[in-house]
Amino acid sequence: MNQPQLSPRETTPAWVKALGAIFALPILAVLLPSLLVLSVCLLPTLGAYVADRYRDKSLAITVGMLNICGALPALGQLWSRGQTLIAAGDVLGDVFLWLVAYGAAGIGWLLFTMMPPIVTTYLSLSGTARAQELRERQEKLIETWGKEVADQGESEEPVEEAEAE
Amino acid sequence: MATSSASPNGETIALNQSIDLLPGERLPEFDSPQAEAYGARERQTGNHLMVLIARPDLPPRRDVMGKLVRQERISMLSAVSWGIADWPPAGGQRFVAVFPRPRGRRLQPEPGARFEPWREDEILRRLIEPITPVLRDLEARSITHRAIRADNIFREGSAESTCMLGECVMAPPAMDQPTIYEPIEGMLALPGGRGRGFAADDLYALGVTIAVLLAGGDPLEDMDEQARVESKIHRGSYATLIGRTRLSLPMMEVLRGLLCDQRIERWTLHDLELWLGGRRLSPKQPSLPIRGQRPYSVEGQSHWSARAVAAALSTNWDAGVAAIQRNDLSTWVRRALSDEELAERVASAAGASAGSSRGGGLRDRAVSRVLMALDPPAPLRLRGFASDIDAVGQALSVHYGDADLRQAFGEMVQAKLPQTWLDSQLLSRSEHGMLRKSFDVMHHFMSRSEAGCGIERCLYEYNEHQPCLSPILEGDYVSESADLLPALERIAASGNVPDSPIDRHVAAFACARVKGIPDRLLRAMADGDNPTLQQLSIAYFLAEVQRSTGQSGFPHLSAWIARLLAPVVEAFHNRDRRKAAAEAIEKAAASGNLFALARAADDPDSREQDESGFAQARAEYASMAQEIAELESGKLLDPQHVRLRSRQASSLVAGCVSSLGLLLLTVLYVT
Repeated sequence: MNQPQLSPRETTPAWVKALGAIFALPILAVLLPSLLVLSVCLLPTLGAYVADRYRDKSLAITVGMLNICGALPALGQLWSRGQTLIAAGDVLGDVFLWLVAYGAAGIGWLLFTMMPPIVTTYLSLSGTARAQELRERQEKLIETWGKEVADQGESEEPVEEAEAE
Repeated sequence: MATSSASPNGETIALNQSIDLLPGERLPEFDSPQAEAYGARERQTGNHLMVLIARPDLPPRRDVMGKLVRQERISMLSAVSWGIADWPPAGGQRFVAVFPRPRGRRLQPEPGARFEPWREDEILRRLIEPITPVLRDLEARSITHRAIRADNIFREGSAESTCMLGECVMAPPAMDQPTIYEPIEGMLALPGGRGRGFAADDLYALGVTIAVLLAGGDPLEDMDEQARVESKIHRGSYATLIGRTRLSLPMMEVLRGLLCDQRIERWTLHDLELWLGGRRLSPKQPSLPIRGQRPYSVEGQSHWSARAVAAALSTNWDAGVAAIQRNDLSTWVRRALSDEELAERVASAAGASAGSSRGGGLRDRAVSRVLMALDPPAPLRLRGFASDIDAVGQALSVHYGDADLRQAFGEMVQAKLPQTWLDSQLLSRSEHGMLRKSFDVMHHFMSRSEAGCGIERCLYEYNEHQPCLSPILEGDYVSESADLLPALERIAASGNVPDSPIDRHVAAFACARVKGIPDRLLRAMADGDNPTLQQLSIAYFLAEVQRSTGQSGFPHLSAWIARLLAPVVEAFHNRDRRKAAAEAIEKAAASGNLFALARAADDPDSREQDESGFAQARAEYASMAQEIAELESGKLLDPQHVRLRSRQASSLVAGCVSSLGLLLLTVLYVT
């Protein structure tokens, strides 16, 4: 399977990286417990990211969005108990919160897996409706312009005949 | 347009509301060669008249009728009324002319009949004296009679009364003259190719009539046609017709003068009047052609002069072709006639065809040119076609029914032989310049093949009163532009209509009679690849005729044209435009205005919009057809496409669900 072409990645200048680090380090220091909880809760998203071989990373997005949604209760618990490493340990010790976060990620994975048959059905139905609509418009054109409008020269067969065959 | 109406019982037909024609009263004794005679009656006075019914394919001399109308004091039958009548015995319309009914009989009951010879004094008193003023009158009106012969001269009353000339208007001039009454040039031409000629030709015919009356019949009845021509050429007309008959000196004098073969030397009317007045002139001596030292043989017959050789070759065309192949004519002229100049002209006329055995058409033309060189004043000849230069168009009219002569006429005009004839004349006439222009135009018509040109155009362009010979108009007499649309209206009303109201004859007739019909219409009518344009041009063509004649009210013809315009309506692709065009045509047809009808069908803007709209619709249809085909071939359900859409859809659904979850959790957390 061909993957979409990668766009040329622009190299970030060193001073931007340095500036980023200067701002990020204090934040990391303050939000370390939250990051710890999130990094554990979002492991399914990481797995999906690694497993998705396509550039659009739709699997990672689908799993990730629901995974984040599932990780929010744990984050809420942490924030309600204060931003400490102890509180983070308590939260991570709560199996229910793990279940919520990983269950939401599982739902995402399930959604991604079930989508192709749904889309196939939808496309099939919409294609039939579109063809019907086009036929009706063709009939109107014939009504207005006569059957000659359907003649596409000797090299091409009229659509009606092609359909009949 | 018909100027007659039949009575309720059908016994009489009113002509011009003043004369009753009697189709039941046949008068065969007054028949003209080309016209049957019936009884007629003047309404007011009850005078007995006769009506002559013209042949439907020949042009009568209507211009002469107009000049002679009501000239009752001259001793000649002249028409008192004429017009087109529905003539039941002929089953259609005919041109008819009414004449006073002659009281006496013809001098000669029929051509070739024998009768009691006349004495010289009878001829003088009963023929020459009354006829001479008639000829003077005709000359004053620039008219030639061209039908003076013993069987066309009537006695005024009893056997001892004076004579009156018969009619001369029911057929083209000189067409019915037996060859004996014609000078040598006229004898060599076809009956229809003699033309109106000159007053001198009438005087010659009078001289021959005198000779016939003296002999009590045809003085040359024992001679065949070739011998008559040969004799007139070598012995002169006087010696041929009078022979050894004893005549008084005055009679010899008048006959020598009238029967002089050289037109320029022939007696004029003035000479005849002087002779009648008692002045005696010295008898004219015939000027005979130069006789060769040895003869030239044509089909075993010996001929001694260039003119006789030309006459023999013209009546035996194959011999002429053989002579060209042998290339011995110029040698004979040089040695036998000792005429170096004529020999050069003959050799030049034979041109490249001399001595060659190939090129039938080229050889025919070479023969024609050689005949012109040998006998310049003789008629223009090509194979059987022989006509005076003034009467080429008339010859075509009279002999139109003969396919060989039509072919010869076409070749002659295409090869510009009339212009060559004019070039070959030793004595040029003032009218030769106009004739040359006329033949150039004739050549132009012949070189174009579309309807409205060709030989039919020549037929009508050069015969002013020629009735239209179209099979469409059979039963109708159409000789003027104003006759055409009423005739077509009658055909349309009859319900038995042909495919088109215009064929080659109708087109040529209309073009000749109606000036200003655009050439592009003729070209469009000839465009068989474009039926829409063809039918439109027919409608415009007839509209031009209507505009020219100023006539109106042709409902049946309009309906016919409207039906013909169906392809024009059908050419619209758009159904609404088609319906609108059909309604516009129907409306215009009801008005009877052919121009409005043509305009209703001809809307270039609408046609252009229709064409562009149709092209767009066609492209749209094709695009939709392609899309349907793609849908039905399962392009949407292609695995790659499904996967792409599925991934997009799952991301989207996940986004929506997570947003909703985030919202709910936020609400719960806050509350």
